[in-house]
Amino acid sequence: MNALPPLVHLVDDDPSVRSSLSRLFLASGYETSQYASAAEFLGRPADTRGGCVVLDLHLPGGLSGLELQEQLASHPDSLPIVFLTGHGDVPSTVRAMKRGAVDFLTKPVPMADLLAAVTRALNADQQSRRRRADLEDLRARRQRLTPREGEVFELVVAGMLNKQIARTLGTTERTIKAHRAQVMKKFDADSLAQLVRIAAQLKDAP
Amino acid sequence: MRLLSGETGMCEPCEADKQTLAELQQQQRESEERLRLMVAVSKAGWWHWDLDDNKITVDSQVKAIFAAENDEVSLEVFLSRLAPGDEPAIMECLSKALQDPADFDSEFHLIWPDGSHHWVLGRGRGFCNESGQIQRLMGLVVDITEHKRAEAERDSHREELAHALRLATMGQLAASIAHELNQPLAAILANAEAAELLLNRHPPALDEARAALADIRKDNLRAAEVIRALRTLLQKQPAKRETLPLGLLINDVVRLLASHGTMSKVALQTRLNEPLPEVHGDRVHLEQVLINLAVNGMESMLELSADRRTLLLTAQCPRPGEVEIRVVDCGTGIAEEHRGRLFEPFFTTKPDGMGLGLSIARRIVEAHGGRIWAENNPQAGATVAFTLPALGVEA
Repeated sequence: MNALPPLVHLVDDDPSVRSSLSRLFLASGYETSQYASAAEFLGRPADTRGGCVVLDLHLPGGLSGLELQEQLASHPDSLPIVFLTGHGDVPSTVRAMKRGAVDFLTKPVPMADLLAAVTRALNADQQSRRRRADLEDLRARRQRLTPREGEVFELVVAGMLNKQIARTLGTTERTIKAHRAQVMKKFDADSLAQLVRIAAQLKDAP
Repeated sequence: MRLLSGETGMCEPCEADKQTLAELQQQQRESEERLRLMVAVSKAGWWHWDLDDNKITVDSQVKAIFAAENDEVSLEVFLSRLAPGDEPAIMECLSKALQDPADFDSEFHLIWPDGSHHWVLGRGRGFCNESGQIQRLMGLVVDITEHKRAEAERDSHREELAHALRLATMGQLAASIAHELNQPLAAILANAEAAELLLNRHPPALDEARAALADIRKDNLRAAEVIRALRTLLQKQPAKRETLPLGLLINDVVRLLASHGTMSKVALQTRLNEPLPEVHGDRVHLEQVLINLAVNGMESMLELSADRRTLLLTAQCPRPGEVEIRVVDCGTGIAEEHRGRLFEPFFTTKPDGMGLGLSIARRIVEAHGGRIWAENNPQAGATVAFTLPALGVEA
């Protein structure tokens, strides 16, 4: 997508914590960006750059960490979150993990644990980005099918043989064979199994 | 012992005079008995010092109070029993009594030959001769040791109660104080690990490593400050009076409450009319008052939406010689029927409250020579304010 390295977003109201974490991430080869509040984070200029959020559970005034997570969750392309907290309470941990937080770490957190969690978060982000890109690609390919090819595609993945499709659509098996070859080519698929998988991906996608 | 000298033998009395004299003597006897009874019941000792012949007359109670060995209480005996620290005050009281026929009183501390300690309250009056000079002193002494002991015991109970309440409050704040310590500790750990990485580079990133070390030092001091403020509050010691810069005291409290504010989602604001004066008092007790009032204020706002919870702490000198500290919340306010009882011990509107916070706050403020009161704000919420005598503006 784009060549920029991933960005670690640090959201913590404590300037000392922010700058020390930033220094640690920079020294470990990550780029960081700092925010003192949930509002500041939400107000950042929009971009499509990959990354993750290291989020303090307790933020003063306005949105807390958990509330920010809730808001971010409504966006399909939201960044994975690693929670940091001064003292972990079980209910908050459960809530955060249930909503898909990558990890929930208690301050002060050893570098190895923090970097491991951030690596996992960045991997998760990369994977979800790849999935989204794949899906968009498939959708574009689906768009390129002619109406007739579309019909053939649906019937093929429903498990019909060429003969049955030809009867259903009122044409010859030969024509169906040609449409089918066109469908395989447009989806860049080389087996029926792959075509079925593509159909499932398109169907399950949000 | 005679309290009044008889006036007989001046001339031969007639029958009617004898009658009157008998009545007078009867009245005098009754009066003496009444006085004796009062002295006996009050356990007061009576003394009389004639300055002309320097003769001191005392009753048996005085002898008992001073543990006089050979039935004699002289000025020397008195001074020999007097605790060394009390001597200057007594000498000043006596020298004043010898110049001025006014009432005098003093409390002093005796040490008996057996080493036991006794507290005595003395009251007396000087009487002048015709030329207006003090001619005799007369007075009462009372042993108030038991009273003093009870007072000390009550003080120590109060101190224990106040300490218990501080512990309870700190227990309430424990999570936020842990957070307040964790922040610098987290920063220190991250900086230490970053510094290690920076130094292991080829070539080492020395400037950035130095910056990390400087931040470690800063955060270490910050954590130490939290612990110092906490230790000050948790210690149990008799109240002591010292000169305290009010601004520093308020900052200490704000430091301890900052995370509690964050967790209760209350914006903690201060408006200090600087320079603030110094006050004379006990640091722990005054901080306890501020913390109690602030925690109360925060609790009163729990029903509000988070963006409206603001606690304002102000300090200013409305009048010379007095500083006024106000804790302003925007919570539910004080119900009219509760207003008169707010500072009573065991009065509480909280389901899990002990009803001691405000009563202890009042006792502490009044012991410092201040006043404390509560009022509803014109818009919303309540203000609890107190005054303290101000010493002078801190440099």
